[in-house]
Amino acid sequence: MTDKELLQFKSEAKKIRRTILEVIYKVQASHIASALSVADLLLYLYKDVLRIDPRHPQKPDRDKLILSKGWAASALYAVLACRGYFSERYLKDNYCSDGSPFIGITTLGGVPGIEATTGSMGHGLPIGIGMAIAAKKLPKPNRVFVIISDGELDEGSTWEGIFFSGHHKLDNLVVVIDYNKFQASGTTKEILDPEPIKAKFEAFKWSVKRIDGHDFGQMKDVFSEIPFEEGKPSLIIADTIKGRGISFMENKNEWHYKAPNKDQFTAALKELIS
Amino acid sequence: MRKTFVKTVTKFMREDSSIFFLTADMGYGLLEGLAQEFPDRFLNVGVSEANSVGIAAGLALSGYKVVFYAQAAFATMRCFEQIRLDIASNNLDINIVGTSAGFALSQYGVSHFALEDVGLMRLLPNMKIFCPGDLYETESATEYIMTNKGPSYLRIGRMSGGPDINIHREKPSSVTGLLKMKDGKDLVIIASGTMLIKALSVSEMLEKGGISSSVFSMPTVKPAEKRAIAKLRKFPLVVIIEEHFITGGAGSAVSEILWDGRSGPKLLRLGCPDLFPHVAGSREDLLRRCGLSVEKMVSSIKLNLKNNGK
Repeated sequence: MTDKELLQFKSEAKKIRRTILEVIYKVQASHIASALSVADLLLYLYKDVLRIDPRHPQKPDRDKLILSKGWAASALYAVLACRGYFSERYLKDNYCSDGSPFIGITTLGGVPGIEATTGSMGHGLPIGIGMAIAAKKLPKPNRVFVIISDGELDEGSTWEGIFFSGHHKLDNLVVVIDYNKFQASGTTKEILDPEPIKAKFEAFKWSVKRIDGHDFGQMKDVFSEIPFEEGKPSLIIADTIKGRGISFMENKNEWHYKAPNKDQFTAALKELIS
Repeated sequence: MRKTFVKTVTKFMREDSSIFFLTADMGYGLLEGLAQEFPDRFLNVGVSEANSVGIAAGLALSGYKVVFYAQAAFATMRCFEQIRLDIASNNLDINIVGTSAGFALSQYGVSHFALEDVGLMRLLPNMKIFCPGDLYETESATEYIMTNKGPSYLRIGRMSGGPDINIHREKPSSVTGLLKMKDGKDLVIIASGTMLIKALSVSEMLEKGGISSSVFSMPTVKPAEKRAIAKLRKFPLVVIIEEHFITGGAGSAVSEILWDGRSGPKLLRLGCPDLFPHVAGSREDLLRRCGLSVEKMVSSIKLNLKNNGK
């Protein structure tokens, strides 16, 4: 990635984080740290990887992205606005407001670009598998990307899906784990350690690579290689930081729940403008 | 009933290449024909109901009409939350087919009984529910779900007291509404699904005792035919018979319609009482223990008529 490209991504990522901060602050919503954790991955995927046309969100041959960790909806909405699915103003005026389609957990129906109702943990991967099978059978060139949280590795349905897609050689399926090492009430290491993730997925016949989920250069390298192996689904373990980009939120799990107060909002905004 | 369902679905899959059939490793000795004829549209997902429902949703979101087939206990309960969120909340075109409903697998105990399935599915907006009572109704209900869009639950059990047969003289043109089986004046009996044949036996036995009963089959539990059910107010007693917990099933559906605060008929809901039957044995014995043998149902009805002042 050239320095110019990198600067561009970094500047857009800051803008995305400002939008996340603003919409969450305005309605005092939860999950800001989860959104900040996955923001860079979403931005890169929507800018450089997904074959999509924001003017035609339902185009039949499009790549599909399912944000299984649907509670990070604010990040996805901010990125979709950045890509022109709708205006940033429309998002800012409506996020979680009365009667709005911008629900705090991604929900199919009212927001263009949303591919599935998610956020109940462990739902996104099986739905993505159904889409990947459909693309193979029809056949269509769609690729399916599913972003899951590390906490979702606790769910049985996630493992049912991992087992199935390895066996069925779904190489048009890509899973990204937003591996920020926190789940709802603590670290994954304390609560239910998913390691060794790579070895587990490989045992289930997946091809696995690991990157820094905030490094756009690494994203470019790894996403240009998918599928990593023909006949295997691809897993990208993306090491991320929960709350990334706002210093006092980084690796602080209380920001899974809390919304910033006025002083915190001002301090956070300052970091995202500088 | 299962064979009739598979035969009917096969016909539709031949005509419509957008139908996809999923099974969660069920249907041994029954689905092989489908698997062979439609290798690109038949998939055994494995013993994983939650994953199956998610996959069904992904297929439906990609343009397929999906059939998901498994035993009723697992097709509806193991993956209820996936059905709720992935299928029902998005009004997807997916037909869930639950076999061996009720006490059909009588020797296996509570793990394999499905006495809650209709109640669970009734809770979900958008979900339609069909409980056929003979082979004709099975065919009609299958045709209905294969030609109409949106989520549905087809409950397939086994007819009580003998092999699966046709009770209707001919295939009913519609499975919605109440299908009249017999006219009578003293009371009305509504049979849900597998209890249809027993309901007719109950009516015959009552007749021998000088009590005349109307019998209706109600293959569609949801949406329930409100107008037809409301007309039953003219009877002094309405009896609903189902192979399901009394809570939440067809009896609940009928009672919710009939009980509107005005005076109405007396309701007698016959089903499995609010307890888990932890015994082995035949289906007939389990039904008897639940008060669903013909003799027990007749005495319950007589007692209710007597208390009604008849």
